[in-house]
Amino acid sequence: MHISEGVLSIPVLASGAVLTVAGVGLGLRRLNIDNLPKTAVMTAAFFTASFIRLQVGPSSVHLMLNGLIGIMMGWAAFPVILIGLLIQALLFQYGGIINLGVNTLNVALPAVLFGFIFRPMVMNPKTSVCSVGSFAVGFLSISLTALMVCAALLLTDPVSYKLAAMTILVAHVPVMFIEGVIALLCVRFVKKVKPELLRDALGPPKPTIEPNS
Amino acid sequence: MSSLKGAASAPFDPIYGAFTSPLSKNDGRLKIILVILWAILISALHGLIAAFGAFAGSLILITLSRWPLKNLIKRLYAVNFFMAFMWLMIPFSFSTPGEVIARLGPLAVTLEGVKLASLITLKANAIVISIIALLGTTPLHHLAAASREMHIPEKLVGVFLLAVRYFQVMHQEYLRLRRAMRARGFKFNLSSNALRGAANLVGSLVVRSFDRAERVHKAMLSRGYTGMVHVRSAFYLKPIDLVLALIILALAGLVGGLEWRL
Amino acid sequence: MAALIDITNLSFSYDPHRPIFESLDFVFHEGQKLGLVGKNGAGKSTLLQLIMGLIKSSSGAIEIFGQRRSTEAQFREARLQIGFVFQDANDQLFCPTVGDDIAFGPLNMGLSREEADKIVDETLALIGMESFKDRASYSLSDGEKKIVAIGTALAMRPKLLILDEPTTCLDEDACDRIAQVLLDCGLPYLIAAHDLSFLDRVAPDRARLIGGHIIYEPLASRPDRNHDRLRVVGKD
Repeated sequence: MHISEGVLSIPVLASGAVLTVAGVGLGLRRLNIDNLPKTAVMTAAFFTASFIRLQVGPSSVHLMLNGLIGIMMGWAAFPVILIGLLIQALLFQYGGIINLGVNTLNVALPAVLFGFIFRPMVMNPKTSVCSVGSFAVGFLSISLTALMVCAALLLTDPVSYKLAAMTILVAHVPVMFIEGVIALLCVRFVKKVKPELLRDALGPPKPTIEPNS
Repeated sequence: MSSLKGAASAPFDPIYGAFTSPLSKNDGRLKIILVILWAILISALHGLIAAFGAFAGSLILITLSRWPLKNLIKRLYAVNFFMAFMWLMIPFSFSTPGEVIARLGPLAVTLEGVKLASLITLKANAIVISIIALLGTTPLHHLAAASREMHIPEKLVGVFLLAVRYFQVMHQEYLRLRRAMRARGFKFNLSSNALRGAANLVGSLVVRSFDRAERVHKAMLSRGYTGMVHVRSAFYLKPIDLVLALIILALAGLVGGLEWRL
Repeated sequence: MAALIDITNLSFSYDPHRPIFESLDFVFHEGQKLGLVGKNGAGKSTLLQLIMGLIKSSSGAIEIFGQRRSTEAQFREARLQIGFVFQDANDQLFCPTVGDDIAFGPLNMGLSREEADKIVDETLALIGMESFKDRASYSLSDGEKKIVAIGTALAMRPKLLILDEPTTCLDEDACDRIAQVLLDCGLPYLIAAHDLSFLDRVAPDRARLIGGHIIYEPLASRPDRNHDRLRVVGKD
């Protein structure tokens, strides 16, 4: 869920921006000349994947997949999601530029948090453990995102925005289950085809190829 | 890219833009700074009159840019969709208490509610229209180069440039895969088949992207990659930049006056 | 004639139980125009990437331009003098515009923006694509992309070109243009390909990668070729 421009207050926008800058800073430490192409191409992959829409009655649901991003990339989820949202804002005017900080934080922080918590379970060779972990990371990441969207709205205007916030939260409940299942099935696919992507898609933070001085 | 619904299609390329707008010639760095400051000002507004002023200002900017109207309207769908949602949520008495001005069946519409909904609608549209006018008239890779010159970290700029480039490739792959699935009667609903299909589609995109990234990295190394994705661009301030800056400062002054004096 | 590439005793495998090469020897001379053929999976692409140091082997010796190359730094120095054209042009066009992609190599070699720009213009003229300078890569046809990819390699003013399957999935017109570019460029080149009729047009020398070894095939001994129909190469 991307909040649009003009809705949030300056303090909320500023806090979101500051926290996102911090997160991106931490994420950039994981990037180097070695894995920059990988990071960029995977940003493109996840951005493309967010075009996938599933029909739910009269409307449709976009996939967010932030749990999966968190599993694969850890803190690098911040720059990846930032750039994905920036491209979306510039090309399609979804989300926005001034609220890029808040929107990035809402999507990336859950990714990093639950990615960290559930990576051991996702990497576990037992299918049952892996399935539970994968579903959990998909389910919980979007849940926290929805909660943070609500929080941003309520911090801006706890009275007039309350209904909007609650509606968004309730509307996301089915989405949480969908994202959980998709995360589970995706992990299953990737584990079969290229399991090392789940452990650490970007490789070691230190470059193995020395850059030119 | 006519295959990207929602993004601009002909008559111009939204990504590496050969769009000839009067504003294309302005210095990209200046446009970025000006539009961000202008948009932050708009975000801070609480007064309806100032918001009207900001909206009018954004219309001035988009007129200066000569943006095609039909395309502009298409680009405003997303933000106004959200606004429509907010209009359902805000103006009623249970959300925004105040003076009742109308009744829709059991629901009471309040003046404060309508004012708030109007306020955010004007603000949202003003910001998005202004950003289209100023940032839309600079090709994406020049925006990246401008950011680089303004000391945005090289890694971010590099990821941005490569991500935009490979998004184009992947989007084509994605459309091909989706077409093939549809041709076999596949429906993107919530059936277990659909969920598995969607998950496999995501998985394929991710795995293939990883393989492609390795190849791209090798291609970059073959041409001596040292960490920077070079972009040919030159930024320099010209008289028209001064004019643009003055226009926006004037608009900002007007809006600021409307907000903090009235 | 001096050897530009001299490989002795190279062994390599992705899977320890199935080596691709064992004690492979290969020499590429100055001025050669060599076509490298072999079945799918024989290891042509692998060999080319080993030459570029994009994959490393622990056994055998690779000498490029008369110098032993084993460390990344040594290979990096060699790469700047070899123009490598990859199989998928999309992998090689990673900059926003054609002009940016062609400038990428020269800029990394330390040239100034003005010098790089000059090379961009010269290279575009060489490959006949002057009007494409500010075009975005995604808007090009497959054939155009491949030619630009070759241009990105030529822009580095290399001592030789290495091309991995340059004509896969391209139509006749595109193949003709590529053949013309190669014949006009005046550089020695090593082409790994399946398209024998293309190789006949551009590369008089032939080597076959078979059983993990290189076998040179002089004109007379080549199987299934009608020698009378071979065009004389280089006399366009």
